[in-house]
Amino acid sequence: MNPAPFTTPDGFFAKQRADVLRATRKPHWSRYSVAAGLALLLAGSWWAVQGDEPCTTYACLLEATPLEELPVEWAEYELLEAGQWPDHLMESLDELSM
Amino acid sequence: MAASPDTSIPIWLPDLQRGRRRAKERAFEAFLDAWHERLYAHCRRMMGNHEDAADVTQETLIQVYKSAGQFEGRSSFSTWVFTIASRKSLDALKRRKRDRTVAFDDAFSQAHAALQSDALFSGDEAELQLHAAIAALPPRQRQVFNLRYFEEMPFSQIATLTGTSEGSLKASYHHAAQKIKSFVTASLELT
Repeated sequence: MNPAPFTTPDGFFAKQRADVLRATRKPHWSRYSVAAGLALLLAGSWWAVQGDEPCTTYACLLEATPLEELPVEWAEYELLEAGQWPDHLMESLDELSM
Repeated sequence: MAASPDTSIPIWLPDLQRGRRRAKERAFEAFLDAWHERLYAHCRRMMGNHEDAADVTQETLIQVYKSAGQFEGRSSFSTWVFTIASRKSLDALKRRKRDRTVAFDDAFSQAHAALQSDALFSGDEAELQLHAAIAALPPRQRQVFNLRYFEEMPFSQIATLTGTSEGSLKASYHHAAQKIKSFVTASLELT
């Protein structure tokens, strides 16, 4: 007995094969799109961070830098220049610089 | 009848499961060469018409591509593929309201009329009776009958596929075969 007494429209298998192959290949592009989107996001974030004005004052640096990384010499120079460094703190500043 | 299910591991299967993009695509094309028409025939027998069978076949083929990496070899590859096709067919039949008729006689009459007017059905009167009777079976019984009768799948594999015991499958198949045989015989005697 004929196991499948059915016919299909002309070109059915070729058309469905093409549809299936198109559908299975699409996810690769989606994955690439997601990867490209992430890369753009990261690049944008990096650009935003890099785009900040560099600090030119001690106050800005103090805001942006962890305390332990502060360049003491710079602070000394800036504050002394501005005449803002109290005399009684000079000794402790020297200790920090050593 | 169809050839016995292939229990060996196809040569392209490792690429389909773990291959890089090009290798996986080539492997999938080899899979389509071997399985496309066979899966369509199974889906056509399950769904009873070309449009629904085409949809279910397409869903099955795409699912095989997506899930190939999850095939662990605990069953044969053909059992795994037929599991996907059968589940997709049963899901589609659940969604299809016209399959909710209860009486076998009514379902047979409807299927017979549908096949008679189906330009894509090419069988003779005996085949028309047979396929109308198969289409009138409840979906799960139809699944077991098709896998056993047309695909010649061993009951042990069908049991793996359906998650039921071999004993109840044999009983279900016997019941379905008896129902079809008596119905087809009676119908052919009338004509």
